[in-house]
Amino acid sequence: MNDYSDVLYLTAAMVIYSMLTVNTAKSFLNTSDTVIRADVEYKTIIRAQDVIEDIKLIKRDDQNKLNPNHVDYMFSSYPITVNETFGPSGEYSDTYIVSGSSVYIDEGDPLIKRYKVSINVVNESVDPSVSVDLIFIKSFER
Amino acid sequence: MNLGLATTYVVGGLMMLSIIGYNISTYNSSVETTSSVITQTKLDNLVSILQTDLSRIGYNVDTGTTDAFTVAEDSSISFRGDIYDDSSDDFDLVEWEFDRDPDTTTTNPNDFILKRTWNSTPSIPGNEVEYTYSVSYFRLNYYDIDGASTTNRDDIIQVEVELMVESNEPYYTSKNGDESYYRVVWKRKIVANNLIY
Repeated sequence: MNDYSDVLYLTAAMVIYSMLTVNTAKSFLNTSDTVIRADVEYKTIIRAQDVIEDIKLIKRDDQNKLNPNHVDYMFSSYPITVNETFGPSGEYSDTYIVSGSSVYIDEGDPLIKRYKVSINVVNESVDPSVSVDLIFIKSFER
Repeated sequence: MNLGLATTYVVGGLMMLSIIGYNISTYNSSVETTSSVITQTKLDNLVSILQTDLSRIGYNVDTGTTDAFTVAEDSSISFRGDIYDDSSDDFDLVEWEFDRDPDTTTTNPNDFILKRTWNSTPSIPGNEVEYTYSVSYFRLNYYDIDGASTTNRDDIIQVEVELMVESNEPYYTSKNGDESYYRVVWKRKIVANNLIY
């Protein structure tokens, strides 16, 4: 009888120990996942900021690029897929899906025309994918 | 030796091996997570300084955008701009230079020195202050207002920076001695607002 109780004690101890190791492994896996997702989000935000930087440079004469009803509308061909390479010889790369739209903000301002530009960038290298939205108001002198 | 004692030794030995393996695994995970956080923080700090510097290119430089840059190469940049809005001269002179000098203060063989030289009084060259950072890779590209690549300093409106930072110490060393370092990358185009208008 004593032998059987020892076996039961040992079995219980091993089950508790297994649960402890599995939970610790899960915890570390979650931490690694969070670190990787944070890195992907960081880079995805940068891609969205790059698009905003390009929009900052649109000249007054080219403002139709933000007019959805004009033939020059820059987002008519969006969403586009952007492949970004990193490293001394471009050995690392990331792929992003960039979407964008702009709407005219009719404030009745006689001096300034404003467009609200919305940029969405998606990185599908992690599951669920990372999606970032940035909004920028671009103003032109009338 | 009786069967019960032998079984106890076998089960105890297995448990001991399991505990040792668990310990090693937990240690490695902790080191990797800590390395990642330290490396990311190191990159964030460097990015913060770079962004502040580059967004101030040409600020308070009254002589025109032509004189904003003094050097614009793929591994070094030197420019005028009032970085902290407090210089005794109208503007500061800042230089970032990556000349692939190995950083011997870390164990990572991929670490090289990125040097920032800042002079708040460019009229007195001796007043330069030098800061060094360890990075794995640093590269600059320049673009004009239409987004086309340019090397002409008068046309530069955007500066693209690519920066790669690795952990100073390895987070994992394999049995054959290969060391793994945590790596983070930052690549971004920065528009120098003071050069647009």
